[in-house]
Amino acid sequence: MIHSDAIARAVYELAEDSANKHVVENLIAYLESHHLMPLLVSILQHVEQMHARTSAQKSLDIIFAYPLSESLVSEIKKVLGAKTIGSQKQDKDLIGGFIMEYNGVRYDASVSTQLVRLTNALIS
Amino acid sequence: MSVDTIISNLKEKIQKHSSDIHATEFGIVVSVADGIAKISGLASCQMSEMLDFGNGNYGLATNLEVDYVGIMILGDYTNIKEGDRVTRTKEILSVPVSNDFLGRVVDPLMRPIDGEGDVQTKESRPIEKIAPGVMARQPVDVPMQTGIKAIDALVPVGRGQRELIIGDRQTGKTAVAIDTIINQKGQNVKCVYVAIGQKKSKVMRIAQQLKELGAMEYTTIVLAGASDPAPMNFLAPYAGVTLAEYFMESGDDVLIIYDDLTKHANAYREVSLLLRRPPGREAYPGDVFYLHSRLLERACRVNADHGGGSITALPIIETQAGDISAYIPTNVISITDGQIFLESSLFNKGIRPAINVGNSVSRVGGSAQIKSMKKNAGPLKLQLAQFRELESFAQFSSDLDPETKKTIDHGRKLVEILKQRQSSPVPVAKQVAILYAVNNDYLNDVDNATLPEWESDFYAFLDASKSDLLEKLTKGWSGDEEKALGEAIEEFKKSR
Repeated sequence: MIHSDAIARAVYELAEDSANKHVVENLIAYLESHHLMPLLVSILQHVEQMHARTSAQKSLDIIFAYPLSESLVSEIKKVLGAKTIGSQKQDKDLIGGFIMEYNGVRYDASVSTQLVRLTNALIS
Repeated sequence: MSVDTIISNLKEKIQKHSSDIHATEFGIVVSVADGIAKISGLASCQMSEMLDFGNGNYGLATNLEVDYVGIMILGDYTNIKEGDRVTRTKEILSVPVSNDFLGRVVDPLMRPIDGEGDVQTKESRPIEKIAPGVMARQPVDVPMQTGIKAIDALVPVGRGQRELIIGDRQTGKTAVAIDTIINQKGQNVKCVYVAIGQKKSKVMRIAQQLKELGAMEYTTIVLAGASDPAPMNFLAPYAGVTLAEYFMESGDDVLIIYDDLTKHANAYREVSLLLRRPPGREAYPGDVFYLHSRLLERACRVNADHGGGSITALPIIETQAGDISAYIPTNVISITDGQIFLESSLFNKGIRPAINVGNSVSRVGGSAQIKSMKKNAGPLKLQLAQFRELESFAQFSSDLDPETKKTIDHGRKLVEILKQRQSSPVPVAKQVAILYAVNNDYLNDVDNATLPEWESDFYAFLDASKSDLLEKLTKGWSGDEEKALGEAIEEFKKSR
């Protein structure tokens, strides 16, 4: 039995490739020919969820103690392969450095975290 | 130490300190219900990895899917909500192990719950471990005395064996297990009692009973109560056997009780259904056999190169209306090395422990019996079988030939002798003595109603004046011991 989430995944992956221009038309034709039209709403919901999840993961969020230069931000984007910047927030509790989150990984380059780690190392 | 040395030490430590960027993988809680959470992200998460919710709560990665990770929440899940962050710990779920856990009641994560303070430990071990291989094992040939006459004589258990205790509710399954723990006093055996889905009041009563009888000193109770979430019930036996393995690898003999695996299978079924794994027979997941086989395979006797210890497992299974052909009972029967089958009808007739001798079996324990017990208990099973057959025929006829009458009378005597009060284990030498007495017709002139009194007086007599003979009976069986035992029984009978 075919599930709506499997179709949604296929549609989403096809749509990501800009060469595929008729994804929606092909989907409708496929659903009609296989008598799967009742699944359409559920498929679209899955596509929506997938998009929300992926765009949240694929955007670069940055928290900094002091604003980062344009060149540094573009360098970070290049290293991580990020295309868009999601949010940028200032937090002076970091003391210095920055924290960034991209694709489900949090990179902590803040001075406050380094100091905590150094404290733990000295105590132990 | 001078101030300069301290400063130079600090400088050195600071210089050596790595200032690398700290990368942590995280996921987001998509849904949470009934102790199970679905996490989006965590693409590199490992199976059975501990995941940190950041508020003192941890989860166990159980289902790795394309977009999600299904996790069992260990502990209270009411303060976890959609959108919360979960970070990887990169550690497989481990529990602390130490000899200091003896005498304590702990939860499945080995946190003490008896109010007697924390246990300081230096070592932790993963709860999932591959059982020792063939070459690390040695045969089961040392007895694990339960102190219960019917078991030690008819379904003997050896150290390293897995013997199932199976029966309906209220047939005395837990009592058999607890009596076995009590009988280990002075036997150099450490005990782990794993209570799965049991009422906390019942377990606390057991702990109290063990304490009063001095058995708690060598026992650890791992408790996952009826009100605890299903993941904790699922983990409890694995935590228990991890501690037992620690003892075994130190060269100790260990007895572990799983009370009971029916509730364990039910907890696993609940978790699996919540994780949306496909249900199979009786809605259990497809790997429910593996759930118990990988647990019970960890009970074994290892050779000297691997510590020389053993784990004897007494899993308990509760049946419905005596149906031993249900899914979980047949699974566990096929995994274990025998079963002790307890029956409601025998229990209600006053035959306690209510062991159905016909359906009970021990596949490896026979070679672990001591010589004197083997000699005296040998014909017992056949005699009892003949008695049961003749007893049912005798109901239809009043005229019985002398031979049949003798067999029935002897059978009744045997049944009386095998009865035993709870929490009164009998040392093996005394068991041998009473079996010898009944087999050699010394009890023919004793009324069945007065047999319990005769028996306790006989044990007192042996303790008072024949302690050397009792010692000899544990070591061997020859003409000398037989003659001395016969004379001792005669002497006792004359003294009454």
